[in-house]
Amino acid sequence: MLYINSFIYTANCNIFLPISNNKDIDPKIVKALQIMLDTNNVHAKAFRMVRDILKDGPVQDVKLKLISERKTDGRIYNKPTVSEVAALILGDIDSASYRDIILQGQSGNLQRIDEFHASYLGFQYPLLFPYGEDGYRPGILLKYKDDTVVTTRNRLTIKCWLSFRIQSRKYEAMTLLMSRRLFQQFVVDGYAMMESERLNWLRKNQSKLRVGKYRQLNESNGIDKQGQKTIQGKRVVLPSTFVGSKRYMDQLYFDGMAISNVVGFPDIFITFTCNPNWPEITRELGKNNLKSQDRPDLISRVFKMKFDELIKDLTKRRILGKVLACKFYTSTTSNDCP
Amino acid sequence: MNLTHFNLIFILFITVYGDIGDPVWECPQCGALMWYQERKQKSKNSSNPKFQLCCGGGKVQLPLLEQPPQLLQNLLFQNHTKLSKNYQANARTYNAMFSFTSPGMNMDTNTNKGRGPPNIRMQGQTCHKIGSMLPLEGQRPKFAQLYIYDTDNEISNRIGTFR
Repeated sequence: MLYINSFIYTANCNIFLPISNNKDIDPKIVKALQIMLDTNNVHAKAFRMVRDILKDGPVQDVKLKLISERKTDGRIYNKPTVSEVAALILGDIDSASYRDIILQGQSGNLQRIDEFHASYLGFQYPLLFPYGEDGYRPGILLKYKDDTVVTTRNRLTIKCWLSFRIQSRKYEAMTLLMSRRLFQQFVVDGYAMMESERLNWLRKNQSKLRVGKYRQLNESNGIDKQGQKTIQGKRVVLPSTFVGSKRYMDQLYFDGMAISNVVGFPDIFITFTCNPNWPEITRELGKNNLKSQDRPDLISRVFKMKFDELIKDLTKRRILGKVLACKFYTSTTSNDCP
Repeated sequence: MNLTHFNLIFILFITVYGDIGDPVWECPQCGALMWYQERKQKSKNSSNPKFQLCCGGGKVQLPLLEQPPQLLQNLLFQNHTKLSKNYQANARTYNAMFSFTSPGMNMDTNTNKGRGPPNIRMQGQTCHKIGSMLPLEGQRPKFAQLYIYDTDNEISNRIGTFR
């Protein structure tokens, strides 16, 4: 039941598949970047520490713990130190939080990193977070208040974190926004994080969503004549409030039909598409010498404003006459334009 | 609606372009640059608009990003040198060379056939994975292992992962 369909517009390179042509890769840049990360990035420093220990010969039973919890306040400090992100352990592990990653010396196993690990994005995007800054971490308040307990109401969510992060500010570095194609990948990855947080909530709160009705129906379908269960696993039902789910689309359709029932069939059907060459977009991109596919956030924001203007023209200013009812649905095509 | 009425509207449409301006309004709480049309109460005109999109009207307070190291600044913000152009065109490859984890996801490889912009389509849950500290016997170092294993030939190893 878990689906994440995301699209990244790429011209010629694709990091998830092996890249065949690397004529463009300049060893000079690789060398300079490596020196830069060694001096600035805390994760790089931590792994170099391991190298220095293993250099003199194999050490028995050495493990590296990548720590997820931070003692400092997440709203004020996001530049951790080496001892905060990693710890080298000889022998048995005494204490570890369940999100911590324990790296073994030599094994072919891959370990999954929890999305709520504070360095989740720092590990994947060393060139977006060159100092190894912490990314999103759960259980912190929106803003600092003394003696406040973290509840669902004042908790920072991934969506809040991401939308705060991708804004352009006069006094903030433009590292993210200027990284072009890497920024797109970051946006898609961030969206996947957000959606998986939501899906996790739905999976854990099925009883609150009153899905018992649907589940029983499904279970009776999955039982064959001998009374044996044929379908394995537990079914998770996505409610109509989850954007993009089947029930969500069904509800849109039913609403549309109900409106048609009351006010009659639609008279006009408008498809409003985004043009990446709108002067607002080109002016904004031209300042930084970017292309339209480098700033998907900017394009969708301009589209939203233009779209609101169109709806206002039609419903408030009544340029095509009085509007009885209107209904709209936004979808994104494969090349980033709504 | 008669024909002249319709013509009038049509002429209005093509002559007046409704430009929405530039993002010149700073959010009073977090300083993000916003468009006036993105203000919180869209029905009211205000001389000091508040914004919801960036920081939830001041609810979210997080540390701002610091300026990157000088080298990265040169590569990102300069537009004329050969190196910065190269970096900007291949930012994802360079990042993948230095990343500590490998992104694991179900790729749909059927989408990039034919014309149109190439895109990545994935299905299922995404996750980032990390291996052990050292590679197995006879295997090349990958991701975080590049920081530990065979660092004398590190540059060629990093480039070699994409060959």
